[in-house]
Amino acid sequence: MLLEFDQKAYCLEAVQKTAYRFIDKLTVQISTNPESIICNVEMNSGSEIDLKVINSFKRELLDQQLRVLIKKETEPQRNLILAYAFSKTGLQE
Amino acid sequence: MSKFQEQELYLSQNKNYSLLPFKFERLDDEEVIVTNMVGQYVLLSRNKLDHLVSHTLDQKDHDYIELRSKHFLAEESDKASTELISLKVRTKYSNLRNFTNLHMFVVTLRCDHSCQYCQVSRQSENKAAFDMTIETADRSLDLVFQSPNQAIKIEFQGGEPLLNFDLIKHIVHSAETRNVIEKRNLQFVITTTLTLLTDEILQFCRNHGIYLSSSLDGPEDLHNKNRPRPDKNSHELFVKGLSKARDLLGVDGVSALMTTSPLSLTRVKDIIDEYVKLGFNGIFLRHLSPYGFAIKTKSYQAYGVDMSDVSVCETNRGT
Repeated sequence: MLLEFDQKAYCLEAVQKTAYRFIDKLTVQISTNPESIICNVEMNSGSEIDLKVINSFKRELLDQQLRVLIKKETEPQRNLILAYAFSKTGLQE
Repeated sequence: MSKFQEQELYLSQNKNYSLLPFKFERLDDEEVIVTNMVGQYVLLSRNKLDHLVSHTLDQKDHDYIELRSKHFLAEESDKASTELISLKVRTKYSNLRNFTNLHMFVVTLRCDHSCQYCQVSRQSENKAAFDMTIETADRSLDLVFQSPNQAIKIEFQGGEPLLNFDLIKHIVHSAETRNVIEKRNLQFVITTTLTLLTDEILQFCRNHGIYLSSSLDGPEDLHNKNRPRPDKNSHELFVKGLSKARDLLGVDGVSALMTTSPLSLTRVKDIIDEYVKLGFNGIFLRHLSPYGFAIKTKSYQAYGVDMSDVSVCETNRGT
């Protein structure tokens, strides 16, 4: 089964992380073109595609995309917190 | 008239907030858990999470207040948020600064016992191929002294480490030599059955301040069933070794722990009586672990826990 995701809505990082989370259920081959990210999906068991698993995959992708947004928005704060936390500890060496 | 101002007075005027770093995981279709860098968490509905990330969560919402107090979000006036969470991060990871102080040297996999529950891949006594080499020991000592921790404890494990006592002597001498320059608080422990103790070994332990840590599973019949050796006299040798060790190292120089096997479960009083009889004032209970020889004998399943259930739980946790 081919799943196509619009690159304006989803990033490659989110798709890759989703594919990894489903590694026990699905074999996912990822490719891209200028507009889309395409996933060629097969069940690990070799059986027919289970739509429940595919729907779960899509929901997880939304979560992963949201995580990417949160990470991007909070990255400066995260770096500042770590800099404060570990200044003068010698842990940065 | 109230002595306190209305809550509205303290609310941010421009209703803006910024997000602080956090992660989330879906618990089910309705609820998520959000966690931050210091392990604080809040349970939210999926809808609230969307509002939080979209910066549209109402200031009066009880989740907003909790998220703000636990540093998931900060208002413009919350100048201390970053410093507070930084302080918590620093405390949480303060253990990294000193790294570990405990270093275990498995000097041999050989053993004179064949305990079913052994967590080590025990080998028979006469296979020198399963001893640590001097080269490995020296390189391991390099690693030990790379630790920035002021306190260094080296614990000798096996198998029965006394079967490779020459290497223990080498490591102790070598570590002490290095420590003339390093000036760490250096301690040694040998984990031993006490069955192979000699006067020479005890004298060495006394001269170098080495503690002994041993095993006592209970009264003679229980101990010998749990800890079989060729002459079926593990308990007798333990008691003799304990007495000799205490004479030379002092009562505090040797300690014992008890591995809880299926046979132990109905013998609680007997086990406590045995510990009291032999002069111990406490019992450390060790549970069975699914490692080493215990995997082969499946003795780790002895409490009646179905390990396939554990595997399923682990799998679920990982997906």
